[in-house]
Amino acid sequence: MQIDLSAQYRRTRELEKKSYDDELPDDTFHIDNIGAHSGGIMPHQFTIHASA
Amino acid sequence: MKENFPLNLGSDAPMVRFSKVTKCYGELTVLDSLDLDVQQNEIVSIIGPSGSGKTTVLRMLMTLEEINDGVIYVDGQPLTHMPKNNELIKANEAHLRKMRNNIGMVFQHFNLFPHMTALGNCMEAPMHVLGMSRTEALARSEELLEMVGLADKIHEHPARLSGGQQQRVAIARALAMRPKILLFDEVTSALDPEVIGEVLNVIRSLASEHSLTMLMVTHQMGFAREISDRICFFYEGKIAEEGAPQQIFENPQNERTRQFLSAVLDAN
Repeated sequence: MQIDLSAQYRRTRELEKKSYDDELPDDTFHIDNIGAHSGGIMPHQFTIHASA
Repeated sequence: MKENFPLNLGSDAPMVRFSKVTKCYGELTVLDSLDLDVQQNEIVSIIGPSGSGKTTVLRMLMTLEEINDGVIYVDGQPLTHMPKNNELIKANEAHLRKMRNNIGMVFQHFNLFPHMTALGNCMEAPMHVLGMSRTEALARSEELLEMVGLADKIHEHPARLSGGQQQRVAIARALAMRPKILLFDEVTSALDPEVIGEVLNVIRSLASEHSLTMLMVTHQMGFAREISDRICFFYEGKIAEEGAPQQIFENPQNERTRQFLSAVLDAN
């Protein structure tokens, strides 16, 4: 299946900019790490993050 | 504070630059003053014997490991450091969080969230990190899972998927954040031989159909040769030799490269 990854790229950068410009509430910190390491977070780390 | 390192690399910067990066574990120096550039849309494979520092390169870039010296830049901006008062200081968590979004990583052991479906795994980061709506994240995740050939598995949990299918979910999940750089860390090493091909085919189609900067640690020499723009042979924490695949595989200049390739190709 052909999808337009470049469109996803542009949309992601838009959303990123918005999320940086917004004041992030403190409790997004741990969740953010999950996304930052998406593909890399360990299940045990997820448990820690989810319960934090 | 880092002196003699630029605050940023300007508009014509490589997508990734390791500048004199050193990584030590205790007294063991795993990477020794590494200099490495990866250009935008370039595919670089890192090969070398166990313990040569290959995976550490990827883990440092994903900020899973701190560095002991040097600076890593991503898309011209410092990753491991941040500018303050016209100097580079160690990056704080906010800076790391911002910079990490540029990078996605696929791991040897998949590391999927076991309690989430394939779809849930892909939707999680765009929704929580980017603030994407559930509807948009769902559409994007469905597209990506279809692209990796798992349209009929989107509601399955990882435990009900084969290793090859799990790894394809992991690739879709990394792509869901649409990173500028995609890292592959021995993504076929934990797979049964008969499913390695399905994962390589997905990476192959990503490379041929989409513009992505990829850095790949692999033991699949034939695949590395086929897909890469450049091969870096690591030995004892340094790049012992680098060059075009044809040069490295057909006419290696370094004795260590020759020995390694001979051993690996014989084993295959």
